[in-house]
Amino acid sequence: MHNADASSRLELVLERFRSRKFARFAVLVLFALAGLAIFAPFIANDRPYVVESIDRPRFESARRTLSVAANELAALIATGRAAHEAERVDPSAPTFDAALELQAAAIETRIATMSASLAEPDRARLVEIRADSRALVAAAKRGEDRVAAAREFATRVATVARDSAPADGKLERDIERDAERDTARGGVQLVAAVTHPLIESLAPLEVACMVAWLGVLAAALVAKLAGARAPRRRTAAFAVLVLALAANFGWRAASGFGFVPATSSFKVAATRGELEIRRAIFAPIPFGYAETNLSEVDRAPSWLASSESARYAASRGSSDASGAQASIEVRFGEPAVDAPTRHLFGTDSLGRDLLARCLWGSRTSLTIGGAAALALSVIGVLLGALAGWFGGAIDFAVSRTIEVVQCFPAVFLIVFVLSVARPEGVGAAFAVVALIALFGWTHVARLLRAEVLRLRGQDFVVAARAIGASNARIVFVHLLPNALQPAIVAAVFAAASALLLESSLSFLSLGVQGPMPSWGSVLGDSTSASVWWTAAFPGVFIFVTVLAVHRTGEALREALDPRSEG
Amino acid sequence: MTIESAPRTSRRALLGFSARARHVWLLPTFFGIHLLIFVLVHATPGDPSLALGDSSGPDAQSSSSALVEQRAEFRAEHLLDAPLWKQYLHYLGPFDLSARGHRWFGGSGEHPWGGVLTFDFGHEFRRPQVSVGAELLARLEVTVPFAALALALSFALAIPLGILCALKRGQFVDRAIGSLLVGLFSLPVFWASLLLVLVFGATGLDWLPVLGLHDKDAAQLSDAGSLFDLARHAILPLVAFSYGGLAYLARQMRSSMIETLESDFIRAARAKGLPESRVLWAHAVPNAIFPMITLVGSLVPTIVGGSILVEVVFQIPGMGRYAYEGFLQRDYNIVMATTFVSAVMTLAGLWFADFAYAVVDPRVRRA
Repeated sequence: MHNADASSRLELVLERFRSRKFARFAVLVLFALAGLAIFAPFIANDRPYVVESIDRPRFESARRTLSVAANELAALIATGRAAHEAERVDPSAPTFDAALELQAAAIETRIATMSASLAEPDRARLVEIRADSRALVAAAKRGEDRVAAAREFATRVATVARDSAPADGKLERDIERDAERDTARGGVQLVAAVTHPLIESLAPLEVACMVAWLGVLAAALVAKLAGARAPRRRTAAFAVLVLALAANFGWRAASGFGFVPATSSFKVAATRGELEIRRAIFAPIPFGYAETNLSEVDRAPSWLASSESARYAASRGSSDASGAQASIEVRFGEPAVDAPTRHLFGTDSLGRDLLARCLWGSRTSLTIGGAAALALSVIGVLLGALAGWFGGAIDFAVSRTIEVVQCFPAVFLIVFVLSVARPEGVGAAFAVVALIALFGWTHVARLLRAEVLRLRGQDFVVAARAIGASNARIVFVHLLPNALQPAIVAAVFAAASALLLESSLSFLSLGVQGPMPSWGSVLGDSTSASVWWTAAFPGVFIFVTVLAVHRTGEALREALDPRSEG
Repeated sequence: MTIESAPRTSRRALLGFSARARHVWLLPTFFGIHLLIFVLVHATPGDPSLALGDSSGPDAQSSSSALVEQRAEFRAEHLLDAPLWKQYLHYLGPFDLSARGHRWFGGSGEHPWGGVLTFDFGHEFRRPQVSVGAELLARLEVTVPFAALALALSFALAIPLGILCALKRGQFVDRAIGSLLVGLFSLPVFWASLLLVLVFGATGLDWLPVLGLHDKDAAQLSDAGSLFDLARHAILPLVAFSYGGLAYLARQMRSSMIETLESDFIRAARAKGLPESRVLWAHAVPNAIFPMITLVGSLVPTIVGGSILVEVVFQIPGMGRYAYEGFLQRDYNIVMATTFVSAVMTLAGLWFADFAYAVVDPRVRRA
């Protein structure tokens, strides 16, 4: 049945596992889900991949405040070190040098902002100014007297700023400032700056996860195409993915699950016409997970006839039937009002795109489910092994604790703890993981205890003891590798349970808070039965994931069980 | 949490573990449950009385002086300023150790008995005239029949299904039912409940009422009409309560039946020439069913835990919904009481399972 040259036990198990069609499919589904979660920013995002635009308001504000900053620098130098440090008015810049740095930095930011929208000849003058300001600050730090030079510098900056007024500037604020406009000579032509808002918003660990996921995919494809199996390399790639996910979680937990800012102002600004966009490439789903649109609340999936904008407006009780088209705000980069692909899953009670929320929700749900399963397995293995190995008082304590904890339905216990304690310091997601682990370890511990009890009297353990191995060595080197089998299977099932539990808690609005969605909280947002899409779609994700995990766990159990035919 | 499907190898080991220990450890486990709740309240950061008054309801705007008074009352009621051992005994009962408590302990004798042993859980924060214990009893009158019916329903359907699958092992029927059961087992309770509401409620087929236990006009109905109305309201929640247990039990029944069919006494029965029907129904089936009884213990926490979700979705005034309301109002007394009672229900389920198993299996009785 299995490959004769499968040398190690691991390969034997893998071979038996692979021979199950369902299991292979389930693993594929899980891998795809992990991919969706990892690549969610690329699939559903309100930031474009690439945008070529002129941000006129930003340019103008930088231009106007540039000479102000230069004047302040001049004033600072005129005050001098002694006088400034005697006054010490600004707590953010306690010393003269720090104050100088602050002013120089202010000038540099403004120059950078302006340079981004300027063509080469106009930019050259700004670069000169930057060099001058640096030289000035350096000289002032050395204690040289540069009061006159600083005044001259401020005047020059004011001239440059005035000259940099855009020629085709038609902002109303400009018209108000007639005096300034009159003196503006010539004017410059603004050029579009290329930025990558989406990629800039990615965290380093997100990128690491993406690379790891692609690495596993590549390894699997190579193995498949070459026909020869490369189990070691693939195992290594898998380990890298798991490590990256774990590190990702740890980092998120440490930073209080501060995900990337919920929405960018980009689309809103573009819609208002504040940005002149030359070119913008959006993600396939150009909606952010927390991007609300109050003109499009509770809209049915847009491929349905009932979702057509006129009917939608009528069903919302809009009195202005003729203006139905206008009543839904279509932002920059979004599909047209009645495009069937506008909201494939519909929108929720705040007008957020449900598909985007489901995709981003998979990050929370999968991470919390996996992390909780990992944590509870570690606790369970340690306590179970301790109880089984040492017996006596430790076994007594652990067994009685298991019996007590097992009596509690986990949902009740967690609801109870969450209502008596507010996990403000640690973040709701971390609290959910910790609580699931704290109350879910009993099953793994019980299995491991029974397994260790069975093994501890066997010859190989007695032999290890006879040659003088320490307790720790026997347990960690000899016992655990042999006793882990049922615990591994239980850990896989625990991942499904943890995911279900997290979804239940989020459904009851006890889990992850705020704009960051999880599948359960998206489901919990569904308010009435008439808005069926908010109830139906997120559940499919939970169901498919749990089903795939169960299938994987079952196949793993059968593959690990030498008695099963296979 | 759903039940983890235990690997087949460990089932007999678990059985022995529970059957030996439970009678002896019934009382210690009860005290352990009580102690765990007490420890959790005191181990969590912050003063419990501070939770009072930051509920998000309409009452949250009550004046600060009333709030201070309420907090002081809460501190006095739970003896929060007393030493820990005294708080523990006060919470356990049966004596009330507070200032208005039993005369033996220096109280005024106004309220001599208290603590969980007398089923006294204090009063609700929002409605001070309502005793949590009495309200909880009313809620249990809804949840316990639901849970018991769901349990019975799961067993009644799972046993024939499991036998069928075991007899048709490896054939199409077995595999089809098996896939269906894994699917059912993976279905989140709250989603299934929502789908039932969507499909059978007014927005879908409109076959059954979906919310609450009675129609608004139920008071005018006759007894029989009222019962019929209740039954119609109960169908969907019952389905939501029982499908998970059904899936779990049927799979366990299948493997138990397969294990039994492969055992020596069945071979012996066949060898001595008993007709196959008698081998099956008189020997195999009863012996395969007996170990299933112990699974009651692992199903009760699942069903009771699911009651929060099912009762919230279907708006049934049961214990689970009471716990959720307690959470929303940050009402200590309610969440402590519901958590405690849910655990005691599980303990009772475990004890019943062992007791019933001992009745049917003489080996356990002897051990």
